[in-house]
Amino acid sequence: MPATSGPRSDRPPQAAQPAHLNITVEGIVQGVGFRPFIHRLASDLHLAGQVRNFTGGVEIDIEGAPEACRLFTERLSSEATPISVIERVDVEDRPVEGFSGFIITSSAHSDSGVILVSPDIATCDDCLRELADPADRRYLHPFINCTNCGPRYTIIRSMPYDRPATSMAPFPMCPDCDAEYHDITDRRYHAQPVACPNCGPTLWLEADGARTEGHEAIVAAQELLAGGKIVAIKGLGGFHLACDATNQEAVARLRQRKYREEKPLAVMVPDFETAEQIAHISAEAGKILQSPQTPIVLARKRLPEQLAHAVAPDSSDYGIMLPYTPVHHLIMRMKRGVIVGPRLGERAFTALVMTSGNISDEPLCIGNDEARDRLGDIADGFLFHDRDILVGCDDSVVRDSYVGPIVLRRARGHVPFPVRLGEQLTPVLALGGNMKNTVCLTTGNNAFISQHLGDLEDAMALEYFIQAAKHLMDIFQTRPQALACDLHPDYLSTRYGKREAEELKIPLIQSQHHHAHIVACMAENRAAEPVIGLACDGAGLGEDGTVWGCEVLLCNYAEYERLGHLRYVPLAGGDMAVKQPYRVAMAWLHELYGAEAVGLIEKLYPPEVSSSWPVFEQMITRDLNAPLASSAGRLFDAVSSLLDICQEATYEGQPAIMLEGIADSLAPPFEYPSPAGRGDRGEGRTESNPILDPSPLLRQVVESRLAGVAREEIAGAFHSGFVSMLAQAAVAASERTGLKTVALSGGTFANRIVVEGLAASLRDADLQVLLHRDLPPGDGCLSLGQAVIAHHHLT
Amino acid sequence: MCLAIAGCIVEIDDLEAQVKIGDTLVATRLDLIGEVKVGDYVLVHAGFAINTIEKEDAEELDEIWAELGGGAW
Amino acid sequence: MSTIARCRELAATIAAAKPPPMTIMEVCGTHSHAIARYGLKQLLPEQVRFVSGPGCPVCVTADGDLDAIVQIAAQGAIIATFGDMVRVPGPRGSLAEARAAGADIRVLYSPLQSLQLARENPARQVVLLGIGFETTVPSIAVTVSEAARRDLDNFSIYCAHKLVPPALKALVEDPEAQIDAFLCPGHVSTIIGVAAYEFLAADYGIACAIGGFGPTDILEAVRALIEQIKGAAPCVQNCYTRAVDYEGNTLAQSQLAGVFGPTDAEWRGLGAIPASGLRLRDEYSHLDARNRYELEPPIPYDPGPCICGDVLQGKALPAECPAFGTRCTPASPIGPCMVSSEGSCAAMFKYRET
Repeated sequence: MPATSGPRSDRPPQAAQPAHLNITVEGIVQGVGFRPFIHRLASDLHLAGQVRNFTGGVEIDIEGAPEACRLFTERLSSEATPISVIERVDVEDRPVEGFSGFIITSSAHSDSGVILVSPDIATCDDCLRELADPADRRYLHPFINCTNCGPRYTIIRSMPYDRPATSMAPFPMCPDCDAEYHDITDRRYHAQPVACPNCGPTLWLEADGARTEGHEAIVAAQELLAGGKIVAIKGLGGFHLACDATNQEAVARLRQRKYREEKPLAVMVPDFETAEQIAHISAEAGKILQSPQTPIVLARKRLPEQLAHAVAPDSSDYGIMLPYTPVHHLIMRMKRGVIVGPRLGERAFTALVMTSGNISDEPLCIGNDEARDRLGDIADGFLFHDRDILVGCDDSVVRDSYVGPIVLRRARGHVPFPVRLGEQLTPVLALGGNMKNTVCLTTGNNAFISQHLGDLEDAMALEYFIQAAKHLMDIFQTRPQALACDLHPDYLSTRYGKREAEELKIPLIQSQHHHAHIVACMAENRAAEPVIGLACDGAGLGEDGTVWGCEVLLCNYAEYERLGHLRYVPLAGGDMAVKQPYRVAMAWLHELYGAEAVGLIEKLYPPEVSSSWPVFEQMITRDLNAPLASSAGRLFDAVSSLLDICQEATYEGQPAIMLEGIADSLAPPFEYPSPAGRGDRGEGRTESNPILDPSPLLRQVVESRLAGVAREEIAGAFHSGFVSMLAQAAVAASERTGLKTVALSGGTFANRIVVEGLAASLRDADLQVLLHRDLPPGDGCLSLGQAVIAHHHLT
Repeated sequence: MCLAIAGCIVEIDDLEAQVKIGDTLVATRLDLIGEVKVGDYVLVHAGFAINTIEKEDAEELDEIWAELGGGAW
Repeated sequence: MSTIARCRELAATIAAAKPPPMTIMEVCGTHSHAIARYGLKQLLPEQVRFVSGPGCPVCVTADGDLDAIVQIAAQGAIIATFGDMVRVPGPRGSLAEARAAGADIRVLYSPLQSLQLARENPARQVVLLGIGFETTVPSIAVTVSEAARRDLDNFSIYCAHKLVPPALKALVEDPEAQIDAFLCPGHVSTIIGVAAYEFLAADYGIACAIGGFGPTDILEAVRALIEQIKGAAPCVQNCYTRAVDYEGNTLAQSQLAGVFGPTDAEWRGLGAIPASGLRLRDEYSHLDARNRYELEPPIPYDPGPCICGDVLQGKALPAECPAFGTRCTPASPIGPCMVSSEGSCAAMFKYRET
């Protein structure tokens, strides 16, 4: 019997038979300092045994006093660090084996269990202290990390997580690092990416034909930035393009070279205090900003603007993130020109634009040669290093809301943590949609959704998409038995799916866009019953060949029924109507006012725009390239155009985003008449074909506009009226079906005013509301929905 | 409760005045203040002038209301 | 110096003065709005705490009055009101709901418009809702005396006006209250002057400062309050001399006194406060809507999760309300503090100052 009495116990344990427990822990327990934690815990409780990694997680054997064993299992869960996300703990009694001491044994491969890979983690406070300490051997070291922070997902080639299987493989450890790596009490025990100034990757700057290494590279980069130049910085998931965010010319030049005309640029600030200085950070937003994911958080600008206007010209928000790699901390906080100690307290910059290293919306650059090639005409200098990034991963983008964080883009820090489902799924690879694509691989009860892969517009994007899918399959060692994709035949993801399915001779299950949206929301919430789904976005192909985008659906995981939808309006010019929202506005005016529309169009639009109406009218009346759409996105676009807020969409969703941006949420709402009150104009719904008719709202928009009411007020009133319209539809659907749960999905629910107002209205009507939690409400969630639908069609 | 905006008197007819608030002329009653003349600046609440005010202060108040989302008021 | 630089300078001065832990009640809803809009709480040290007060006339209107008003609306009167009242939920629903059921509700900019309505609709009764503090009452007083002078027989007023100083007195007399200072309303003070608050400093030791509405105005007032507290010398400081004279507007005060007299009144949250409301003087009692309409007793009303009453007394912050943002939003409000543009919940919601 291992009788170890130490400082904590007053006397040897009671004379009880020793116990032996075998504990398997699943979760993100590799690469997060878990084994040393277990070792310390066991030593604390005088337990003998062992711990080792295996493909499924971590396996522990402990032997000793039964009470100590019990305490161990309790403290295991309660004391593990937040980044070691424990999902499941299985405890089994085993016969006593007579372990002596506690050891960490080598990793084992096993075919059972699921491997979870840790997302990349922002530099921790302990490492930051060492970074700033001249006495520490890693003072100012650009690659400092430990078991609690640093690169993970983006440097892992395969599992189990071991240095040779990462992009650290080419860097043998120096004796000092090796000693730390093997020292159970050290914070760098088994830290795979461990490095120091004497070993590991190197950093250098290339600019004006010259190469500068080490700390001087940081200083030189700062000088370039301070001088208004653009520097490409290699980070964790890819390259960023950076410039001084307070320098209007520098920002304007970056926009021009990047072909990024109007979309807001993300900025990085040196610390939380600076974030609060330039924007209003609510308590919720503050938590998200400082979370281990360190995403870009949208926050309302403090006025007058303290950054260059060109940073976010048409937006009321800034997209702000905090530094998350040592290089970021050094650039942002090390005092210009001089390496100061002992603290990194000085800010070198108020803020740097830190936007993705690409032209326009192309995939992120991740390789050095690739960056020289693709970013050579944009950047004046390159801050390179030689630790390969194995898979590109954008920064995540989140906005806070009263209904919880809304993830606008799910990538670094979230990926590849799985969505846990309530059932075991067939291994399926779902290929997602077209815009804001993600892919999803299901295995066991896990759905691994890739990072945001962008818009699949061309060959480069498709290649990035294929690589991401392959990386997922490699690290999770899963080959799909089926593929899933959207109904739309022209999406590149669909075409790829058809080719692959044929080649691999596996089935391809195509699902309707909005059904997939709702199923994704259901799956995230582990809904066990069918729901009423409100799916609102710009566009998705409908089963009947028309464009759907504002749908009331009755859904289960396999099937759906279309209960209602927004009234159809023709989009003159198809895709052109997306770029030129006045086409939709005019079409609506025509729907509402018939012959009088012409007069209104001339009142509301300048001659150069209103003069195109006759052409559009022809297209509409002759049904020439004027597809019908029931789209919430286009409705918002139309209102944005009617209020002259945005007449040209230079990025996806721009008119609607700008409409939300100016809307006064306190404006008295436009009334949306209840079914009883809607009879007189003949606008409304019939029982057999429930239509959501926005006419009353649009009329009030037009009338208010002509009466000179402030646009902020009209925009706010419209938002509230839209919420009323949807709420009524949901309540009616609930009465008709007897279902009490409503799921919301689609890009329209990235609009805070809409999702907050609608959730409140539905709850007031005693309905349960399901919202996305970790996935975006936009098309980034489609792949999960497609995978789940596919599974239910295969079984 | 505290919404009083500032404007300049452009016309007086007994107890009624036309006050220029921003670009608009607003009919305003003068029952609650003493002698005023055209060109004076006043604080207006619910259609009544409740106090006189200096021109610079009027302009400053205008800016503040614009920032606080004057539209709905 | 730019406004933001001046604000930071003021904030730095305040921090350097090392203020003790203190609670300032911003009385007026417009101040709550401005403080949220300019993010002033974040500029100030943590120990300087703000709570909002009862300075939103719509918010403090009691359920009994809302009940009566909707009853009058249902009896066919034209209800003339300022905008914020229309969507306040009450025991018999809101005025907006009454309107959907056929009632005639008109929104005014000036109370004199109700006289015009009466002239234009001689066959119908017009009832003006008298809701508002001392800033508004004098204009209502002029309206009432004009109605009397013209002998309008189809005009009446439902008087639920309230006075600010008695409410402040009730707040500081409340044993549960923890108020160290008042940021006094700007334009109410234009009417009532500085002296009206002096009893708070003299009898109760509360620091008072009358503030304007810009960010620097508010910070100046806060600085004055901190100085008073640190020096243990409470008084009433006028930091808004641009619009407030010591005496206030005596002409407006006499108009008010000529038509109205004090009466006990029921406030949402604060309860019954003696002499805190106004009633028509006897010579105008024929214009009192309460005398003209048969009213049933109020229906008992359960506000559910709404804690507006506590918010109005500074005993809870909007974010502490379980319904805030989740079930109660400006588009779908449960209580008046989220409806009114002067309500503190609406201000917190809009500017996400949680």
